[in-house]
Amino acid sequence: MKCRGMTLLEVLIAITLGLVLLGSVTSFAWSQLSSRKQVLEAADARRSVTLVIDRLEQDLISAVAGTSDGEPGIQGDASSITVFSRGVAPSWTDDPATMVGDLHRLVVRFTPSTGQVAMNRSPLGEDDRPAMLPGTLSDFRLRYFDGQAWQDSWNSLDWGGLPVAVEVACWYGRPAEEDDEPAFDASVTAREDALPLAAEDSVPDRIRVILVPDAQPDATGVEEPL
Amino acid sequence: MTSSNRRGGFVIVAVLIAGISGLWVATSLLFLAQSDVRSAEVTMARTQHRSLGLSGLRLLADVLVDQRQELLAGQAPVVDSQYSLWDDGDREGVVRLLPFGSGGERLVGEAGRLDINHATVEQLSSLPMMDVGQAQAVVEARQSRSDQRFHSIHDLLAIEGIEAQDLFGDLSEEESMDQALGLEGDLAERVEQRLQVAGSRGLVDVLTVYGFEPNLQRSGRRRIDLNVPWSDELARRVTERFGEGAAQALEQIFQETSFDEDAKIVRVLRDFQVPTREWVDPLDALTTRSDVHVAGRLDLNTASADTMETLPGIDRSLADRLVSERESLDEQERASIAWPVLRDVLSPEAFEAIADLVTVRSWTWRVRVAAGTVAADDPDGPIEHAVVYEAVIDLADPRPRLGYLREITMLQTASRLAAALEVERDLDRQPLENVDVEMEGTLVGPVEEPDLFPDETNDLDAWASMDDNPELDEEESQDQAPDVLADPASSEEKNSHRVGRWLP
Repeated sequence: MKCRGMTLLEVLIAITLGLVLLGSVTSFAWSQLSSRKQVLEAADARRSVTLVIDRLEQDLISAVAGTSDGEPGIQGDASSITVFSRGVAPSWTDDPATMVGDLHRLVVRFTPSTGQVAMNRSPLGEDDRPAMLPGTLSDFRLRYFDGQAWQDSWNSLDWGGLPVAVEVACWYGRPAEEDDEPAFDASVTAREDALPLAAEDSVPDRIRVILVPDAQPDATGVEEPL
Repeated sequence: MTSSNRRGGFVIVAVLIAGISGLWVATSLLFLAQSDVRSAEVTMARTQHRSLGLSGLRLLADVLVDQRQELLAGQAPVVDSQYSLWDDGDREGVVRLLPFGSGGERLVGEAGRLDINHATVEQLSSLPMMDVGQAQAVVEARQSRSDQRFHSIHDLLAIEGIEAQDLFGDLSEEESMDQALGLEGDLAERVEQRLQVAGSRGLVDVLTVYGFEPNLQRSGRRRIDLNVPWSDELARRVTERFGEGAAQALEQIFQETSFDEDAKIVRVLRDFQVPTREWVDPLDALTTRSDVHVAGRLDLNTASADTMETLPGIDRSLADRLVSERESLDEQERASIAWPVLRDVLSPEAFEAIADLVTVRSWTWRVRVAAGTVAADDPDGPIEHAVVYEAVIDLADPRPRLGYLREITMLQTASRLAAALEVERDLDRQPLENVDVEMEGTLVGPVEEPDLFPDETNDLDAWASMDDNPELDEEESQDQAPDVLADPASSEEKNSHRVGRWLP
């Protein structure tokens, strides 16, 4: 069998074919990687929201209306909330009293410009160091039910008690696709204008109404028979 | 031929490797997914059990509020040790009342404890576990609060000089989760333990912030307030209750005496030499407080001897006598605060000194409940994914409320960590003392090593033997006919001394 070298044309064709093949494989891998990133981010956001709702539910149930130091037990607006509750936090501190004490402060704060949620729960007296949770949201909204209507903010000192319920609603950020660009931009603009566009225009991706047991017995205006 | 063979071999090996790695990836993904599902299940179970716990507390509050007539008569309410909320044939959703009182009680009356929002330095310092310095610190701290009151016993931890140990006793003895899981040892052990810890473990067993009660007569009506100028309305009410003669006599007394404290009522009864057996009605019907709820009164029917000692003029022997004497009281006697006089434990003079500080009713009851599921064929067995709550149920109004609510699922862990930390602190101090001893040149015996994890072995044993333990004596259930109470306190919060999580 006689060995024959390849012509230039053949080499070029081979290289071109190779490049095309490499390119398609790379672009496939790239799209895989980026969609993996998006999926992970979306999963992060969902996990963070689950964590926030779980924590809020646990603490709102045992929330107090006010502390001995005169601080409101529940104070919040549409994007942030501070809750003082009776609970336990087995964290390793150098103070046994802190570990078994019953008053804890939970802070949840949503920053609309970055779409990030920060949360911190600490025994009373500890510094407030909210930790950023992974993932971003396109919007996050808190509302407070006074027994008659939903309120955008709550201060348990001013209201003289606990809210009957707290609603947590959130909108996950949608992945930025080419044909989806304008809509995405619109929501960004809306955030900058501090208009709750998502809240007005779309159904939340996740919503939870947390009841505060025993909050306001007279809220319904109906007195129990004596 | 050989080359194609070799190629075939390569292909088989490549397929095998690809297959195995594919399988490996698939398995690990499966495990990941399984662990995610499992953790989601646990989270969901906990969330559900939290709701179950709250439903259980609601149920318990209803059971208790149905017994308000009995409470008015100075009796303790009766509850079951476990309530089943649902049953699907396989599992049962239950709420179990954990025995947490210093004598193993599942229901502890808060009025049987000293109210730190009204106690004086003298009262606080007469507690066996508190010295004068600590008592002064407590009163000072109370006065520096924005509303001059504590909202929880735990607020005392913020005070310099009061340690976690003072409040809770031995932290390593906290066993709420073991109880929920049915790991507290066998029946004999538990009975033995209860006998050992009959006294108060710490301040938490003798202090409260929930010592308030509605100012009601035995009949459920509001008491007649004498701390007002004489009026036709007052005359009408007194006549209605005691007859015309009593009203006229009282009008005479009003000209000389101003009724600014309940002790004055006792004083008048003594001055007019009313036989003590006739004290019961006036002491029940009359008051000198206009408040809807009065606070700072100790329940003579549930207070421990440690707490009784805080009353002025009551020493240890009198306190012990009061505690032993009340065992033999009948229902009629229990209903009146005059029973110590009727039983000749206290002289009328001694009773006058404590008249403003005592009651015979407790309207706030502390409970610990563990909520979760148990196997339907073993309802007393361990509770799966238990969520534990501590609550104070406030029955002062016909509509019961949760005065205090704390999720303590992790309390046992936290307490054991804190206990270990305290042991560690003691260890840090130990070497210095040893050095001192050696420098003095005395013979040093073997230094006893403090046990870092005193409960370690117990725990391990307990965890190892997950077998079911027989529940301690079930409290009898008692069918109560719901009795509607006539004219109790209205819902106005004016002049109310109630402390609760719902009030700022």
